[in-house]
Amino acid sequence: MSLTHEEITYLAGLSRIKVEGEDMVRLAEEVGSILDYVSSINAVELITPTPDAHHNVVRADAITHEGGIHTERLLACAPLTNGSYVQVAKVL
Amino acid sequence: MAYTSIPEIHEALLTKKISVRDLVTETRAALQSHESYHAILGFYSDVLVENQIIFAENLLAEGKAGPLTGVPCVIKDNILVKGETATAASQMLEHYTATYNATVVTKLLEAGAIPLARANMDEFAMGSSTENSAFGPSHNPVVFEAVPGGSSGGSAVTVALNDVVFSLGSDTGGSIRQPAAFCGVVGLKPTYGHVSRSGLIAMASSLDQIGPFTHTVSDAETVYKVIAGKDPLDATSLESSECVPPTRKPQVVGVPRSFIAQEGMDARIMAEFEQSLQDLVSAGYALKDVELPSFDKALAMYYIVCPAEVSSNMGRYDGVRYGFSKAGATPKESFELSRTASLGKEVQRRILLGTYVLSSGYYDAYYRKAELARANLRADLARVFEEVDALVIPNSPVLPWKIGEKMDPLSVYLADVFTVPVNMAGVPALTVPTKRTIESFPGSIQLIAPHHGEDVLFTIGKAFENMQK
Repeated sequence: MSLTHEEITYLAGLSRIKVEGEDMVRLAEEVGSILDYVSSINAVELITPTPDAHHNVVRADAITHEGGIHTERLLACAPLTNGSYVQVAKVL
Repeated sequence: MAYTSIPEIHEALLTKKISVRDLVTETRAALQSHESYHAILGFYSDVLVENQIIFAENLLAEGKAGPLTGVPCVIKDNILVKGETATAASQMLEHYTATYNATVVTKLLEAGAIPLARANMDEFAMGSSTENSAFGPSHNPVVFEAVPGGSSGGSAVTVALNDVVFSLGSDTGGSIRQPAAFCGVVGLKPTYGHVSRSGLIAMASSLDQIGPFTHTVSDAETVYKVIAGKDPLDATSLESSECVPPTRKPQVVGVPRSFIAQEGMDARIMAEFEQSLQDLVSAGYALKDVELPSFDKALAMYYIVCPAEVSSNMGRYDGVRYGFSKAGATPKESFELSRTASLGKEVQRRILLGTYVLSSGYYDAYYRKAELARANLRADLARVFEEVDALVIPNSPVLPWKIGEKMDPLSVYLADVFTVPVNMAGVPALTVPTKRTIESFPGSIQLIAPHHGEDVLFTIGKAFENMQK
């Protein structure tokens, strides 16, 4: 199956990616053919899983480091900063 | 480079046949002499290397040197080294400077190892050839026009060319084992949870593991022991008490023949693999045919679960806090411009695929089904591991293709058939090269052990290796 251009546009919107022109045609075909292949998952009969070693781990809700010690290094990564804030385009 | 193993270097440093500094100089020269293979994306800064040389020299002088002290290495460019560029071979992170060390890097530095350069890879670890690197592919060390495999292609090449005796890669669906096979080196994917993922740029969080490339199984074991261990910074890393290894002495190796007989399996690879099975028999192991019916769906499961996790993990690349940024009129437009311009084709494809299988109306049929189906793989493995101690299968159904030859994404995905089930089940696996060649390319086997069965892999791997001499 090939996905429709509407479907790709919808997925692209959710993914915050712009898909246009030749890419649209290509991706509709490619994503469609991959979905065709993975749809064979329908035939799998599920079993009751046995638990494995992994389980949810949380850390204590406590302060782990002195405030501000990473700020400079982290802000240096951001394209737009304002004082000790990362600046973004207006949301509201 | 003169040395081909970690113990050889260790001995040479202890007996002062060579100094750490001279070894680093030689290694750098070796890496530079192989520039045409495009295995590395850059060298780490002089400050880092100099500090490590001095630290290693001190450890040696004080008699406190460990096996990795003073040993230069290469690290895949999706593993963070504080203060150094880490690109994940993507334009999105082309100018990104890591703000902390990956836990595996902290461990290597504390052991006195000398990270020298960052290795080329498929962008964000998505691919099986390094052809998806935003900065150009790497070349196979044996047949230059062929791919070295991926996504940890650069890491495999630097060891295969003997520029370094070990490197680090990451494996989500075969990205250590397949390039190890394509380049003729040893590659280990540890049990999920044994090696910390803190500081590994995330691809698929339930599948990713960091592991070593080396020339020998013993060296893989050495590096593994340094980088493994519980890490409070990685909630999925396991306590050693939770890692109960198999207790039986390995004697029987299972061969899942009907799984191996894939449509598209190259007969030449199969013929060479049969010779490897004979090597295992000569090494004293009994072989047993086993059935793994759930494995037929493992690739479909993987190409649902992996893109789903990818689409979630790639969400952080929005050009706001770091990475490539292109401003639009609104935040949404800024995200779209930044992401579309800097994320490559394969990355975008997997994000879209992952978004589809997670989206309303499809989530249950695809993602939830595939995620639950992983239990089928584990159950099949648990059943066969009652009768056999390990499994042996090939690494790839196809030989390394020519750079640029494979254009269809699905055909590349299908070549992952022998590696993805391992990540989906979380078990460890080891690629060991043979001394035989298939059309000039190296032969290899892939050993798979039960969860926490790294020692089984090392035992059988070493015995198999001895048969290659």
